[in-house]
Amino acid sequence: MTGAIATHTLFPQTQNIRSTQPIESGIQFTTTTGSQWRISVTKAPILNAEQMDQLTSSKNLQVPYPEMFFGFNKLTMSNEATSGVVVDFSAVDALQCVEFGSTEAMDSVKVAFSKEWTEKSEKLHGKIKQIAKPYDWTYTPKKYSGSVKGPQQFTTTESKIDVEMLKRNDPILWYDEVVLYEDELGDNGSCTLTARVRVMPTCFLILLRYFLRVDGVLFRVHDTRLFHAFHSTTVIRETSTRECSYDRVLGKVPGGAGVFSGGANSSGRDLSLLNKGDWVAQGMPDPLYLEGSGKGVADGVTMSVERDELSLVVKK
Amino acid sequence: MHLDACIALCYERKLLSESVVRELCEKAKEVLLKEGNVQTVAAPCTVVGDVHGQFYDVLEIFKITGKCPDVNFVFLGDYVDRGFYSVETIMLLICLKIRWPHRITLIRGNHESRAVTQTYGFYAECMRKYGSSNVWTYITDLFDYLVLAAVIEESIFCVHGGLSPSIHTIDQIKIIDRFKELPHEGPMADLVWSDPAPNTHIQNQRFTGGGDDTKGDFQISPRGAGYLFGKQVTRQFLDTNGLGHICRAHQLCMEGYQILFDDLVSTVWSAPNYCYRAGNLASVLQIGPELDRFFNVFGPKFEGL
Repeated sequence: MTGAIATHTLFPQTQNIRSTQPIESGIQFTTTTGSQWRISVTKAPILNAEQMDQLTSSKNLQVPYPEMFFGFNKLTMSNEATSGVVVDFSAVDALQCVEFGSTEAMDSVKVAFSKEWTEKSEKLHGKIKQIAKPYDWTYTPKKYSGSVKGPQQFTTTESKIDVEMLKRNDPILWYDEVVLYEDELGDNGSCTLTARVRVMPTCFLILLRYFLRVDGVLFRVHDTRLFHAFHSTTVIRETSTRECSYDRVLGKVPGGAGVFSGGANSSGRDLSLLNKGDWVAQGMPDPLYLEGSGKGVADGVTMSVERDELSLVVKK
Repeated sequence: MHLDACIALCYERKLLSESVVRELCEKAKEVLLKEGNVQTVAAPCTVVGDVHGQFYDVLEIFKITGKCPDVNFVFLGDYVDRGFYSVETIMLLICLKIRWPHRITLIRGNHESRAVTQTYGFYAECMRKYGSSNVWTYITDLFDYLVLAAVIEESIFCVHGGLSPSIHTIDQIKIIDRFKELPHEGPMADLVWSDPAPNTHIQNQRFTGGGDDTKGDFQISPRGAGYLFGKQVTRQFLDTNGLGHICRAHQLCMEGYQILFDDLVSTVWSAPNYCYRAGNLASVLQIGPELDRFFNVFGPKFEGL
């Protein structure tokens, strides 16, 4: 097996951290097989009202924006010079995958006290209606696993990410993380969509993670991993979903098991771990042990995984 | 301990001892117990939105507008959670409230709650800084005493979240029994939680279709609880009560403020670079003697770096 980074440079060399303009930073490298790569993250503040209005009309976006919408932010993996392949993980593309106006959006999960709330509301204010076109307020970017440009598309595969390569104690040449959007769900929980990347001498890994907590109801983790070993000619993508009850995770918070109390509990408890997507995900079974593409339930967690790959055919 | 000494310590971001916090919370309760649910405030004054424990940004606000008691302040709530210095921030405001009760109004936000603070950071901060939950208990008990709204010069209605379909008149707010943990439903919940319905002046962009939303009625949030208030019900509420404007907080905006419904409603947001990552601006609303409104916009102090 040969294939490693021959030369690499990080960019940019200096930057103004107070800039409100989008800043792109990343790594460019050439492998020993001559493949040319450029992986970068673009970061800027959340969009202002004018930028939102522009985006709404230019993309015909219908979903109301999440509270923190980093509309310029994205992670880009480009092998364009060699194979023409570019994969983007962008806030805008992800938001376009959120259900809007559909039956599914209407049936999306509700907050814990919705039933009693709705009954009271109907009794007192029967003529007040649900908004005309509901959207998935959890901002689950259904089926979003990156935007692919280039001559090739992903095709189903039995290949898996080489976990052993990732476990090796290789130096990390570049790491970064970018938040695409985040919403606190009116303090009924939280959702975040983040993309991160690490580049090692013989491979790289990109992770797009959507994390959702609805207090008293559920947790959801949707991951998309892109992996490429430089000795291979494919990029492997593993897309997984995990969902479990709120109480299952609550039971893992130090301080003993518990059930959702609506919080009126006056003795108090530190539940801030429940904001940490990585902590919650680590406490769930790993869906990547599932073979091929499939679904399963393990330890109270409903999971699915799909695998596909993209071949990097050298341009003529 | 002398109150002025406490204030001086608070301005230096010193942590007050557990017993002092307890004593101050008891004193503040006595002060707040005398206040009605709806405080009347004289202009000129400065309205401050969510600050979320961003202590250095609160100091920046005092630098921009002047300090208490030189300036008359209305704080719209959400003093704690998310920022690094919730304890220091709320203790400073509590001290100022005890010292100059008629120069500072503290309205309750949805984060002034036992439930919310256990998840969003304030409880964890108290445990980290004091090693016990006592301070959290003293301060969250005090939260039950905070007022629900304010009216500036019989003209500008100030509240944390927004309107409620159960509330048509200011008098209906005055009779709420507010001395309790924030409930999930009812008028008290709506005041701290509701949001304006997204802009409907852009035809069919964010919310399409017929139905009540285009007229500006109340709507039910797709979350399955909570209301959105539209332009028509806003106008009705203002007309019924002889008011001109609603000033609220509760929603992050990149510019630090947002004006809605043809200037019937404004959102003031006072936590710049929210959560140390949003990159947003913040503002305070300065209201002049003639009730002219000026959003004084400011940027982050980079306390997180």
